[in-house]
Amino acid sequence: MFDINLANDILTLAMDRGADFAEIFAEHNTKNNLSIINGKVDRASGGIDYGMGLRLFKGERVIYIYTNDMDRDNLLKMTKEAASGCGEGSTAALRIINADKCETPHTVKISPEKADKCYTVQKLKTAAEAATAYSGLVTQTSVGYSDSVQQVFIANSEGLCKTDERIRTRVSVSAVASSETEKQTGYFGPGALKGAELLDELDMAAIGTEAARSAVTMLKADNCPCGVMPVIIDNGFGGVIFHEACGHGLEAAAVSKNASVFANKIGRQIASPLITAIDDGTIKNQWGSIYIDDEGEYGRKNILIENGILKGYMTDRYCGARMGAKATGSSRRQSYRFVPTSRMTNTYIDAGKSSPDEIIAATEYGLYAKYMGGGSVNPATGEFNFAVNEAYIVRNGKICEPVRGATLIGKGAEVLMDIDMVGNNLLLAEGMCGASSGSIPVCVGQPMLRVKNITVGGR
Amino acid sequence: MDKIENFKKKLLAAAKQRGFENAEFFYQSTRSRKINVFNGKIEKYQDSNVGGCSFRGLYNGKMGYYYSESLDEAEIEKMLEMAAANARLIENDDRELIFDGRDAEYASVSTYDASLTELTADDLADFALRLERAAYAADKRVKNVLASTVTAGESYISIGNTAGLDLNERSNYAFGFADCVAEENGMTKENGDFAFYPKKELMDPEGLARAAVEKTTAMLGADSVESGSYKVIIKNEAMADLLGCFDGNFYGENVQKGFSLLKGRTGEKIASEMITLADDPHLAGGLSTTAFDSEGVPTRLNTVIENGVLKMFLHNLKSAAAAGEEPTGNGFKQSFKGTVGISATNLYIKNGGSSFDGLCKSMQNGLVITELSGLHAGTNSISGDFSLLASGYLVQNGEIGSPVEQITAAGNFYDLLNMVKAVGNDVKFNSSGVGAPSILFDEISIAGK
Repeated sequence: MFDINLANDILTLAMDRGADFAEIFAEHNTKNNLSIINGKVDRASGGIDYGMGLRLFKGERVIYIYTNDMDRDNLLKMTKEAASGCGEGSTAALRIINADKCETPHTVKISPEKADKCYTVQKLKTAAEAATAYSGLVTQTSVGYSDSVQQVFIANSEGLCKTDERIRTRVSVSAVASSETEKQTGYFGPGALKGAELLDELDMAAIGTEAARSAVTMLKADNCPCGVMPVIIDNGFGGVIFHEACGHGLEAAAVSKNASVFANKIGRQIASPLITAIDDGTIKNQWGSIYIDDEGEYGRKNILIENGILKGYMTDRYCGARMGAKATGSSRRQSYRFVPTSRMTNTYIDAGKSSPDEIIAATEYGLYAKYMGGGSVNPATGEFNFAVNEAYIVRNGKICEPVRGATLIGKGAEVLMDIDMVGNNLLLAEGMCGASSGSIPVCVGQPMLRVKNITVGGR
Repeated sequence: MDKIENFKKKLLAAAKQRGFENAEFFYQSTRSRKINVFNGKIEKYQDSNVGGCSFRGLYNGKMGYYYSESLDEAEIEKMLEMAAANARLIENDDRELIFDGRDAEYASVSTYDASLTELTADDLADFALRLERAAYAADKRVKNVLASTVTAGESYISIGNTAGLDLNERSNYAFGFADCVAEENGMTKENGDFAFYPKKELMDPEGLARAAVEKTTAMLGADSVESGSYKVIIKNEAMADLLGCFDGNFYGENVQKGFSLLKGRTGEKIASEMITLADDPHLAGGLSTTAFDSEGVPTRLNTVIENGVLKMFLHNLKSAAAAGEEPTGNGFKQSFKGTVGISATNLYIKNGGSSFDGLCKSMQNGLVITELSGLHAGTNSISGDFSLLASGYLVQNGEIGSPVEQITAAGNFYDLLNMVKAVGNDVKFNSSGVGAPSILFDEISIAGK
């Protein structure tokens, strides 16, 4: 997809002009989007992203240029401009002979280009119909679909040259339940590093029904009481708590600038001994998985925390060099328009020993957060906030009435130490994560967890 | 530019031939340069030049879309084929339109300043270096300046359609951002500030550094407060952030599809008479200032809420036709890759009569909220419910007191609009281009200790 001779010429020119390291990332990405509102196809669109970025290192400086004017003369001119200021050239011309076509293990059964769009529409409508049928209180449904076929070409001045194809498909289902004055939304967004076969693997009707059930339950719920209390966070998307409150602080982008509460703490206890946390980019066909990262490194399984002890960070080439650490297959970017940096893939807290029933039964009073919403964190301070989409009061070891509008706030480092029960029902859930290198697909995950005390915001 | 004009002509002609009743070409290109300084050195220099076009056309009355970042004429066939395939999938009964703009008149607005184009890479580096230096110099407690960034950007938009529309607009801007960490007595606080510069002479790195440092150090020594119900002033920028979460409720398309509780309420009083909400696309120096929207419709000043009364919804061509109203010039797409939706431009709550100090005096005892976090997660854009991590200050006897952190503020946006006690005269726009003055509210539920 990118001419090897041109790649050689660009990299050679950059090195001749004094760069310490040069890297090309070229991309061709075909995308399709569908949206079905209230059971009817409302929007259908798509397009092609096509462009390249050139990254140069000179000392501690990063120079990044990107364009989609792929004309040879333009690319060489931009390379020359980018390298001006790098000083004396030192390296002899390099020669990349072949692009190593990576045979990704994340094989796809039905490529999006070959999928029958009418069949896709039919499948998606099943979710809308099930949601509407669940209750007369469900007044709107919105079902979304997106796929992308991203072909990448990565070559650098050390002779690495690889191509990869990443095919992703995602569905989103929202159901809105309404009363005279209220509207509540239930939402699910399953996805995978797969093609159109995902639609056959998902039980679309069950997803629609569950979104409707959640919305209707929350419509009838009272406001969440506020205060400090034990909080039980269920599995799956509940893992967003670890992603936000801890995962971002273990990315080299924050650690290497000493902008993380977890900087300089390898080997120290940073979490309850019940906690083992992992970032695993190798899970087959998982939404957040990668075969090679956006610097051409193979994805891998990185142990971040083991029995509460900090074991490692997620590192990319640039930030790794600044902190004297090797890259961990964690360098990612949304597209050629972004400088890659250390990011998460599929990040989860590993299963513990307690059954979910035991955890509930052991809780006299507290909040049970069944489904978490999104949140954000300040990595420098660890301050975080999460929304809870569906929550219940736990009283005398039993799940009681539903409550809505709950928010959890706190500091990541404190919450990690305060986890006192870990369930055995590990589950991953799909999401998009936004940071300096753009919005990328990731999974969060955990079993059911109990935190001794969290500040719960309600009304 | 010739290449774009040629591509446009060929694409629109081929579309007619292929059976599109009407078609539109939208092109956007951006040049952007960005420098970040860290520890007194240029850490990152970014330079980009990207563009792309999107096609949309009416095919048997349905609108099909497709975009491409390649302006190779060989792409035309594929774009039209995919757009027609997408049109065939559409099932809604919306009446879609391509704008007939032959008689349209456009306001003359200033979106381009030559002085910004003259900025050299050295000028940008100088700004970022001064910004970092000034941030460290402003206060001893600043331990780390995480970002000291400047961006200079320039963008060009061209729209043409088979109904004779032919428009283009050039715009540019410069943007500075500083982010710092301050420490005192074992407490770490991080915060930042930004500034948009419509002219080179307005670029003031020292002023921006001071603002960022003040925001950060002000929170040192902060503590939570007892949970309960408080009188609250939401400071201008935080108020703008909150308003920005609920702007979709004023968009005609959301109203028509049942995603807004404001359906059928035009002419009703939905807010305190002190609240006037306007969308002004011609605001001088505004982040979203423009003479036309993504459909080519002339933009205009729209007063959405006037003295508490809901006057109108914002429309694109499609939602205006469905409502039987005039389009309001709010048919925007986020970039050439998107489909046309509805978006406000420079949306803001108008100034009231009180100074910020005056608001504190009239509140006497309560809280000032200066920052709300987690807005994308902690708000329900339809119901209006919010429950958000907040920080700010205590106010005692009308005077600003100690800083407050680790609290949540919860309520409902629609209720809030009716709980206004006083409106400040200090409108400020946030980095998304939404503006508000500081507003004093009767009672907001706060969770803390």
